[in-house]
Amino acid sequence: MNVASTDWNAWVPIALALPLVSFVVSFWMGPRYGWLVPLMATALLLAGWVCTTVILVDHSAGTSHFAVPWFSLGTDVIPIGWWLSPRSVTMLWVVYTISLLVHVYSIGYMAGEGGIARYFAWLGFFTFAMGGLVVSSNLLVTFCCWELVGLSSYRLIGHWHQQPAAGAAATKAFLVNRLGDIGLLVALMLLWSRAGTLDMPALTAMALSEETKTAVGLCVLLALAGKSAQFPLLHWLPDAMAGPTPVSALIHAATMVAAGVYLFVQLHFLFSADALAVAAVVGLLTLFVGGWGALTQFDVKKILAYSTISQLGLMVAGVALASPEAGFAHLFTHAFFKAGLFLGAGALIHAVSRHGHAPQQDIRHMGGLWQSHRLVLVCFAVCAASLAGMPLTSGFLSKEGLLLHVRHHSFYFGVMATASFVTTLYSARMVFYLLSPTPQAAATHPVPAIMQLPLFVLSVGSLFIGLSASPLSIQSWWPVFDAIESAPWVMVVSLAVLVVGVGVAWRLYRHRPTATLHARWVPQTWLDAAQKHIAVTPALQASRLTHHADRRWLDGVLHAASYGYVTCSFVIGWVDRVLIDGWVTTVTHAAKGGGKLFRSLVNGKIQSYLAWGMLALLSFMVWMLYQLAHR
Amino acid sequence: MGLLLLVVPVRFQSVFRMAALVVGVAQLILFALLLASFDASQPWHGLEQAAWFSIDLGTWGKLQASYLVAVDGLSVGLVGLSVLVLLLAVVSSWHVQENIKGYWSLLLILNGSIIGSFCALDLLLFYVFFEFMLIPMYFLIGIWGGPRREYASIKFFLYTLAGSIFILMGIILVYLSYQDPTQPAVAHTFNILHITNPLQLLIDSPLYTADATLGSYRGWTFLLFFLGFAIKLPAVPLHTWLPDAHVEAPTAISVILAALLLKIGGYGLLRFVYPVLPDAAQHFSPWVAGVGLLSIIYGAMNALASKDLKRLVAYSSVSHMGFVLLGLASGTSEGVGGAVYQMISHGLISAMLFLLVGVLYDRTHDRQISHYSGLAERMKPFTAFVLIAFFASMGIPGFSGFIGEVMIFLGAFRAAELGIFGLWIAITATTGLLLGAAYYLWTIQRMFFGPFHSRAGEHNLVPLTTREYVMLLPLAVATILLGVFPQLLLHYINPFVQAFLVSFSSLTD
Repeated sequence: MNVASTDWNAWVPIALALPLVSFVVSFWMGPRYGWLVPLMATALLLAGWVCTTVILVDHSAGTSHFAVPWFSLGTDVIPIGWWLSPRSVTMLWVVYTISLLVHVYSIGYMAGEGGIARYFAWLGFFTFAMGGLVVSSNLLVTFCCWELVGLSSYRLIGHWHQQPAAGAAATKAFLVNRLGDIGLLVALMLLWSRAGTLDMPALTAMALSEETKTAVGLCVLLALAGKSAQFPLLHWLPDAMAGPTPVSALIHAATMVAAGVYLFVQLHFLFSADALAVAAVVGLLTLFVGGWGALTQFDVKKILAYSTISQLGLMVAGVALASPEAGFAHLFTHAFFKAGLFLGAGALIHAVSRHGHAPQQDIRHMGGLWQSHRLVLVCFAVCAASLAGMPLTSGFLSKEGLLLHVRHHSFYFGVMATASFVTTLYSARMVFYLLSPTPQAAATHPVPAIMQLPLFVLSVGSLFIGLSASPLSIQSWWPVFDAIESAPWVMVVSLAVLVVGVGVAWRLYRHRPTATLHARWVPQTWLDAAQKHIAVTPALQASRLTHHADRRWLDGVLHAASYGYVTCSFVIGWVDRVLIDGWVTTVTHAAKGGGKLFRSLVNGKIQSYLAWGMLALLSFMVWMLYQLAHR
Repeated sequence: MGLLLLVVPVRFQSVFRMAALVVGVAQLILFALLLASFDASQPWHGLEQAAWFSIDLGTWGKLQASYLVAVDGLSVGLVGLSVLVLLLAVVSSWHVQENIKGYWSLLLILNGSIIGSFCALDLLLFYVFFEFMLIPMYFLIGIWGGPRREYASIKFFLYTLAGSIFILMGIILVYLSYQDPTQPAVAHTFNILHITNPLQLLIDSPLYTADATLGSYRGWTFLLFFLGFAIKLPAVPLHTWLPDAHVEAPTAISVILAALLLKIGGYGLLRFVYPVLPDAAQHFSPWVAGVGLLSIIYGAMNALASKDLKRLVAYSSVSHMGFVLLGLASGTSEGVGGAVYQMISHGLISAMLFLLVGVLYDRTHDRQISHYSGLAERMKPFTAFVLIAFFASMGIPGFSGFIGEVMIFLGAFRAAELGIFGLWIAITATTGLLLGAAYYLWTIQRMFFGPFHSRAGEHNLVPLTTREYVMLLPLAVATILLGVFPQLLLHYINPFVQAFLVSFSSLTD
């Protein structure tokens, strides 16, 4: 095993260490210097971001690998290190960029909230874990980071832990993710037992059997279904919106949920054709379930959550059907516009919510903000346009890339075009509600500049220049994305879909219908029910059964045995006392009585001598009489 | 090394707890000295031998046992764990009120016998130490325990005694089959160094057979030992003494029970049962793995159903010790190393969990999960420690539990690939991780999240005292340290595992 690669790059450990320092220092400073924590955490992250930018510029082409032994198992060594490729450094940079912007935004958003040190600490920890996940060269280390991002997600969803809903959502998110994690663990163990290594550079060079690839691929698919909210493990994500909105932007939209897709891209070579086909089906199903879910919601964060699910489905299907690069390109653009949408939504929620009340997140009550919050709404609309795939945006380009790749498969192309239509529909619906002049929101607050700045940056990043120099072609600045020959008819089709989508949305939602759909039409309802009936109830029943077994059967056998034993000993005790002892007592009594009797022969009392003499005489006389009678 | 055994019940007239503390600290210092001079490449360290007794049996030769102690890569970790946990147990029972003299004397007897059994290299000596743990434990639970302490202590005593009888039978069979090469006049030997050497196997002795299946002497001996140690471990379905003993025992005793006494089950199997009977071990490995799997799932299920926090933690121990059996059954370097790692890691984590339950119980005298809610709001440092302990126990990376479990899974899957047992066992065992997360997270959600509520009132919930920090912090630090730098411990474990597997494979050939 080659662990002696020595492409040392000091920027990588520094970039990873800075958020970790932020985690430790935030907790340490929290009790006394709470006000300083946001500034300190943001400053540390800014420094980390500079490091990742340096790494990005250094590694725009080629790969480098560095590893040192972490621990040894017998003769095998588990290394720890990084594997930098254009893809991983891009992802690392995206993670740090969004994280930095979310840190800046949180300074304003979380001002005056309780537990602010804890909040920034876990943001830092998340950034560290996510960075580790992205650059790690060893899959076991990737797995560690994979679990740690889940842990920080758990802590951040449950940030407002006094609210029961937040606690429940955190538990649910963690457990569903844990199910996925087990998939990844099994995949790793299968690789270890069959390939003998978990080192990614070594694995890429290895030829594995198709059967192994199918098994590993399906297990990885389970993992990414958990992390990236793919069908049927998607129902935790809408609940996860109970966390603070900047967290939703960073973790549950831009980066962590994309980790599954990123892993899929990275491990694409481990998937057999069969596993890829299953992944494509899962991705397409998720695409539609998410799109449909977004149409059923009025809570702006839940709309965005379903939209994230649907876009993640698109990415998975894209990686499976088109190419890893095309899927990754969409991941890249999605990170910007979805983070922008969440931060925009957070700003609007902040604007219309009153302190001490539950935050107002219903798009039916968030109208009439155009006069007071023009910049926020424009930025939000730009990001939504990018989500819908409008020309001049980055979303248009990355979606174009996906469509170009599948243009020869008419079925998949049709499915993806239809999905684009659904995306356009819900994006336009959301924007129509928010831009409408009525109803006037009850109270409005100004949005601080420190929250507007990251939003502005992200909306600029959602324009085409975030991805490519040209607004019409994906021929890009990034070497990650391979060149695809263009086909003008694809662009025509996607523009047509866009126009139709906006038109239908205008027709349906122009008058802002307020009727809520029955809960049974919301995908989460069925999935929650399925979770309850398939997993939770059986598990609880089984646990009651084992509890019963423990108490009644195992302990019962034990108690029965001990009662039996005690009963036996009583019986034996009785036998001992009455029968055996009784016999002995009889003999002793007899002996004693006899002895007493005979002792009276010689006891020196004249009376007893007389009595004995009389008795002897009497017996003699009786005997004599008897003799005489029979004579 | 023998100095560690100088711990005898000191019946001081005054200040028993100071004596216990001094002994604990002295042990820690001695252990540090031992560690400083420990050379992992050497098989045995601090070997100390003295004749114990020798009885002439005429034509049967001599019955001879010796005081033979040493540590190697397996026991050094466990001795270190014992020293740490016993010291913390002293700290945690600082405020014991009734019958102080008895309590501290028994605790010191227990201390000596635990460390003794981890060091003993003579089967009879091991057995004596093993038995000797029982008596102080019986009294410590039976006198200082909770409301059902008499039931619990008798159950504990009888269960363990039954296990010891099986072990004694096994020891006699082993004793009759091996000879001491240095003393031909003495027909048989208890020396573990000799009995693990197949060259010393006596011809025509009970264990001199190639047949290791059920019904042969080798198979029977293995089963006797396994049964005895499975009670101690404990493995389902021989575990029901454990939850009762834990629930009734005072905090410090629960800590010792979970962190150290359970480990002796795994230690015994690793120390001589597997090396003496590798063929039988291999023959029965699917069954051992099956028992491990059953313990993992069944223990986790029971933990999920527990309403009492301490009972939950007790069942989680059953589940985690199931992993030890699974790793052992795999017979691979990852799995066996993982089993040792898991034993030590579980020692640290379970000690922390029981101490935390004790912290809460000291304040409110109430352990019902449903009687609390929103504790995170009122007891922040306590919640932080609970989260660390729970996540460590769940096997989250960064804590020692993860390393142990992942090594065991690496071993189990490789064993499945080698055909030692079915792949389904390894895959099903991974669901133990999900169940583990389920019962812990559910507990966090119920006890620590949500609006604050405590049936016992809130005035009792005083902040953690310095004494409590002193006992919790070292465990938290050790867990994280071993989770981030596993090589610290694997440095000692790996040479042992290599030697273990060499004897294993050479014997099976």
